[in-house]
Amino acid sequence: MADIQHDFEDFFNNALCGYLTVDTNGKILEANNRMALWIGCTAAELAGKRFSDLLSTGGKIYYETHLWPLLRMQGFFDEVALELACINNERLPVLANAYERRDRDGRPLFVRLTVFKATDRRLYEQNLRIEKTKAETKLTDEQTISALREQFIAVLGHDLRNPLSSIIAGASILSATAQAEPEKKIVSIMQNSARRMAGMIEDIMDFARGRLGGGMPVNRQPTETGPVLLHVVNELRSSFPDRIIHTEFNITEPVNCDVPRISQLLSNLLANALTHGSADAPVFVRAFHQDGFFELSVSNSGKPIPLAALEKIFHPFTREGSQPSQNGLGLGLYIASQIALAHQGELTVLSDEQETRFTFRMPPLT
Amino acid sequence: MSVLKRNNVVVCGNGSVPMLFAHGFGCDQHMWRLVIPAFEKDYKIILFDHVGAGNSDLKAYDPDKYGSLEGYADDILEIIRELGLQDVIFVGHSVAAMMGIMAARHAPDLFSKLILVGPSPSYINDGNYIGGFEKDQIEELLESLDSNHLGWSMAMAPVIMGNPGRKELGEELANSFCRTDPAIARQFARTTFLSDTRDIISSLQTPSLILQCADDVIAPRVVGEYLHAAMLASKIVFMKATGHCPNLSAPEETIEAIKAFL
Repeated sequence: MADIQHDFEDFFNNALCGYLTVDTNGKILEANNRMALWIGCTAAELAGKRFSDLLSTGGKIYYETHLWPLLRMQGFFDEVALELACINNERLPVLANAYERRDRDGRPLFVRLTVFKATDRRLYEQNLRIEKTKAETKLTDEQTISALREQFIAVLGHDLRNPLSSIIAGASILSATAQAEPEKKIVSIMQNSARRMAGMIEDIMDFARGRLGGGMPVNRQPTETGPVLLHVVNELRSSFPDRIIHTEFNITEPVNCDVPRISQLLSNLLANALTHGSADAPVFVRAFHQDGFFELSVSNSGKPIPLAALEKIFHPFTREGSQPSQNGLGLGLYIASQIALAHQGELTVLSDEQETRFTFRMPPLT
Repeated sequence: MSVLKRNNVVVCGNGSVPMLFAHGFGCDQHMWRLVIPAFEKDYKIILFDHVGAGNSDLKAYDPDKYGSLEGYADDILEIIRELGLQDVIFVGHSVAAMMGIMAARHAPDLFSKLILVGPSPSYINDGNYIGGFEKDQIEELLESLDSNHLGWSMAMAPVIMGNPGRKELGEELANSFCRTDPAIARQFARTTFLSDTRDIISSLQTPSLILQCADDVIAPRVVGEYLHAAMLASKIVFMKATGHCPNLSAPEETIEAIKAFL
């Protein structure tokens, strides 16, 4: 037994990889038994063949057009995936390594090849490829569906506006002619609901426009923003008569912005603060202009926003909890952040025990 | 993008008679590096990479144009015209030999001689014609290229080694000689091995030399003999060199045969 253990010939022939020596013409000089076993013949029968004769058609052409030239030019190749063409017509996936032995003057003497079985690895690669193709197909499908969905939202929002305006117009006529108390009350409720609905439709349209058109379109003009912001604050003061809103404005020069959009941004932030902030504490609206930067912030006190909610707060359809609420679709902060983006600015949020503050910061127009 | 940059054209040599070397499927202009020194003294040498190979401009690769060998032949004519060459001695290896024949048919005045190394007008057996491969063997090749299991490690190396901190490792792995974009190599293989240019070879008037290797599985001896019989102005040399790339495996014999013809 000790003899076999140290028998080099045994080691060579029964190693778990194929060994070959190939002459400068590409003909096999010697191959081990393992190689012959894989092919399905004897080692003596392999001698004299070209190494590429042992390969599948693809491998044969790859070897003659890529690998042999590579061996002659750089002297080696490593870990090349090939397939052995076995006598029984099976294909055995392998990895081949080779180097060219040269004499002192750089002339080629012979080539040594080591060949490893790679059946499992090839299977693994094939599975990876299949999964990759599947994932790519799925992604493309989802993208198509998603685009359709957003188009659908845009069309739906657009088409709902006409019937809704006729309801609003009708309710307005009714409110002028209604005499009795119950009718007056019902008409007023109808008008409020219709207005809320119109607001939600506008939000949906903004959402769809931003998604489909690659961002929200804005028309920026130099504007005295103080009165514009104050107008928004006063609107919300009349909607929330019990609440205190403090303003601190220090705007010394015109701000280059889209007025309706900046009003919408402030209105969304302020409504948000009034709805979610603590009812017995004031809300602060601050705006100032410094070094060309325009900054607008809205802060309220109350419970801090949980971290998990904070991470997704600017995503569309994000609402407190996942319950439908009276507060709309959950697009307010998303639209505000899109308006900020469209002004090359950003909308950020900080929330702790002291306060929750949303800040819009916009660099000067370049 | 100039033609010269697109095809990574390199001009060298001290002579005035132009010799244009075109590489075949699989490598780039480095294929000629053992042959070139023998001609530098007496000729003006022009080397280039086909679009998709070597240092060519990969962005210029147009699957429609290069879906047929004519697209490559057009590039060869563009290079010749751009450099204002006359009486070109064209040396083409493998599939580039057929590109040279196409170019010489379109503009016979620009070429003086063609040297065709391991040429084949069609690789697939068809009736009495022996191309060397059965149709299903070529299909197996194209399938294996589509499933990308050949050269898998070469194609994947940049992804796996795409770690900026280990850049030197990636550089060592990537070979610097036979760089081909895997997707383009796949299409080039399709263009090459499905090509059939048997109907155009008989009308070629340019004097041509066919260098036929022994034991060439890609362009076997019967193919060389077929071409020689079909091309009236051709000579054929049966080389001792084996395989498909005598320009690398037997540069001396290749140089000798070319010089004797010139």
